[in-house]
Amino acid sequence: MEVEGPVRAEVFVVWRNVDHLELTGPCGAAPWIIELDDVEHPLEVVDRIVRDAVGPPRLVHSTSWRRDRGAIILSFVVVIDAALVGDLPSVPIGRAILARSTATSAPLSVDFEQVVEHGPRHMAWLVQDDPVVRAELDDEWRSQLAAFVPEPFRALG
Amino acid sequence: MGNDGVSLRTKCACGWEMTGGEDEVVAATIDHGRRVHNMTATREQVLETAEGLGPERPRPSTPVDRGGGRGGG
Repeated sequence: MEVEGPVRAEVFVVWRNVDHLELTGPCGAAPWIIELDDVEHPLEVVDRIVRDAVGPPRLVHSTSWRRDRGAIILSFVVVIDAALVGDLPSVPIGRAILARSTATSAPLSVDFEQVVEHGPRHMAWLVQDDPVVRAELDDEWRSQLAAFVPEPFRALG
Repeated sequence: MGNDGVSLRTKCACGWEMTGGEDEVVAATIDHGRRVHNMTATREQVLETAEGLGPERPRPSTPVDRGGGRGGG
C-alpha cells in the first residue's frame, strides 16, 4: 500500500526531548506521507490526521515543497508535546547540508535529511518573526531552535 | 466476505503491516490507510495488494471455530 495522488503531505513530527529535538511519528521516526485532495485545505488535512493518529499538535506549519515521485510534496513540521510521544519510535534530529536551488531551477535531488534540516531552520526564523509561533514555543524550544539559525541572523539577534 | 481459511499479509510503504484472516486484514488496512494516510481504499484494492500466506491456522488464544463467526488468524 502506497500513498498516491498528485499532491501529498510529508509530515515531520518534532518534539523537544529535554535538551534536544527529536523526530517521531506513527510510521516511525521518518517522513509521514499523507494523501491530499482538492477539497480540504492541506493544513486542515494534516491537522486532522495528526490529531487522530497522534494527538493534538502544538504547531502545524508548511515549511517547503518540491516535486518528487511524480507528485507535488508539501513538507510540514508538526510540533507536539512530549506527553504525546509515548511508545512512538523517536530519534534525535541530526544536522545536514541544505539542498540548494540554482537561481532559476530546483535542486537536482533532495534527501530526506535535507528536508528535515530545513524544517527547524524555518521554525527558528518563525519563532523570531511570527508572534503565533513565538507564543507556542517556550524558552527551551527557542534555545534548541537557536542552533538552527543561520549565522547572519544569529549575529543580529 | 468469508476468510476461506486463508491468512493474508498487507504491508504499507510506511512500514506498518498486518497479518491475519481476510476480514481482519482488510478492516485493519482500510483503517490504517484512512486514519494515518488519509487514503480511501476498498476491500478489493486491499486484497489486490495482499500477500497470501497459505491456510489459516487458529492462534492458541483464539477459540476454536464453533460454527460461526470468523476463524482465527
